[in-house]
Amino acid sequence: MLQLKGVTKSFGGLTAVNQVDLEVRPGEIVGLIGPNGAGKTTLTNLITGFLPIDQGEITLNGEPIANRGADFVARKGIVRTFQIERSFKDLTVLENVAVGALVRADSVPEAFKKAKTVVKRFGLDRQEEELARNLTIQSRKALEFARAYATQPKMIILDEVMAGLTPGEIDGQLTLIQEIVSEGLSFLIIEHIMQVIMGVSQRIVVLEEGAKIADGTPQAVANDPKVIEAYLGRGGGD
Amino acid sequence: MADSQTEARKRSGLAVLLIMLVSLLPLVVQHGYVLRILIMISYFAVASYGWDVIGGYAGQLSLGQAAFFSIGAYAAASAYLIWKLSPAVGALAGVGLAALLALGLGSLVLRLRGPYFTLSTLAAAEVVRILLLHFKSITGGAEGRVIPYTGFNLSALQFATDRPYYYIAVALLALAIWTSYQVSRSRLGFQLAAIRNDEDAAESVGINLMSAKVKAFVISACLTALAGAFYVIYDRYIDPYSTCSSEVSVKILLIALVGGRRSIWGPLLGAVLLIPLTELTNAYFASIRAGASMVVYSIILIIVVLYAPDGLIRVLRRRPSRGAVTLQPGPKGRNSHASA
Repeated sequence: MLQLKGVTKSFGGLTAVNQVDLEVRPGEIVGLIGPNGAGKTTLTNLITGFLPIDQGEITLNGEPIANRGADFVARKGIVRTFQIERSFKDLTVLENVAVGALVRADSVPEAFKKAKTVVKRFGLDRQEEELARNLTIQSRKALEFARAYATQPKMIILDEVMAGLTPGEIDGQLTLIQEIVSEGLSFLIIEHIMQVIMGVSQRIVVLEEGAKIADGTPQAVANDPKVIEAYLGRGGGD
Repeated sequence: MADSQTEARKRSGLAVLLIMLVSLLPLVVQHGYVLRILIMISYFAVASYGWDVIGGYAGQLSLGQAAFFSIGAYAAASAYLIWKLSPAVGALAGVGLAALLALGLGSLVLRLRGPYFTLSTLAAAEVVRILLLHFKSITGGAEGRVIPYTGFNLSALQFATDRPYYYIAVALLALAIWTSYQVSRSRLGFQLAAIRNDEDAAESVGINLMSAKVKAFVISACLTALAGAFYVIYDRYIDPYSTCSSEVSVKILLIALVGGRRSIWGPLLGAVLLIPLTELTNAYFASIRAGASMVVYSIILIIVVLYAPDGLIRVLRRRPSRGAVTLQPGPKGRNSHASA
């Protein structure tokens, strides 16, 4: 479904993403890990159209999507959350989600109807009339996830949505992700909590200094000497 | 459901009462000057509702609304004086021209975020004024133009008393309020809400920033141009300084800020408070120092930003604050998504 071939991006002299090949299939959960500065967020920005690529190609079901702008990519069906959450602060929880739903809805009332069900599903219905700015950071991250899901995408990229959650809340999120995957959606998940990403991902991709150094099952990646070196070589992983 | 029904009934009852009050007002108001103030309140409110679409809903602080105001005014005046057309036709042409300018200008400068957009709109209004001063044969240059009064003439929109102007102004006001209401609940309205909160997040859910912002700018320009056209039809005098100065732009913006942005009644409340105040300061201070009203505006702006950043309408309603309280729209850190 999503295919990256030789994707490269440089900032000045620094090659942030270097010749990365990547594939995400329908209904697949792919974990993206790597030490700080490995290029995970840059890669996210390239896939979602927030940054233009220098070389290579990115296609969604065969259609090129690179360098077409973030709104184009979102309408094509790849949406994201942000590492530093970006909810619409002066809108209510329900309105936030409705804005997401609007991209596929024929009318505003229809978007709100859709938003109602999404808000409930994400456990935000008790706060749906609350302004986003009054929510905790964790709830706002959940809200961003809900907003992304409301666009009815083919794939969601989650950039550290679990950070700061309690183990119980993490379990809730993981269950939700599994349920959504069973609808045929795919996930690309960036996460620093290893137990989480190892547990939920069907496949793990490891980036180091912008290059892909491993791509395989969680088991295989965890035992890959290159991966161990990448983490331990920088003073231990997290 | 029952709640919203009684609410709706209460609202429509209130609306009927309001319409009756507004239509009977000129019969009660005997003093000509008071009626004149009511007319000014109406057309400045129209201009301000126009500003609110781009400055309020979209959160793009335009300081160049005077450009659209002038285009509407000069189109109405020129249509009548040069081409012997009804100024109403000129007004419509002016609205069209203002829309075109907003489309062209917006497509260029709405890419800029924050203060850069504001500065470009300021510059655009300056350019329009310089052009108006330059093309003397059409605009009359700095001396301006007077539309001679030739007695009652419906097609020239010339009336013996101020009452017909009052009703036209109130009708335009109703149109502006309706437009604001429609924008607020439309797809565009929600897209603009997303954009003023966070442009990157808005893009991430598929909103085309340029398309939404340019639409808002065009609607904004149309309403403001309409106000300008009415202004010249009513006042029968026009010159570049009174229609295309930064003072006009500031006045239009301040009315919405003081009354309350993104509110159905905010700009009207702002006009009701500010227009009489402007008239008073002009009357008292004009002989002492020209531009006294700008000093008064500045003081009002400081007070409002400090004590009622969401506008007075929200103080009256005691509604919890909703909406960016800063004058600076847009996300705080641009491109911060690319930095991590």
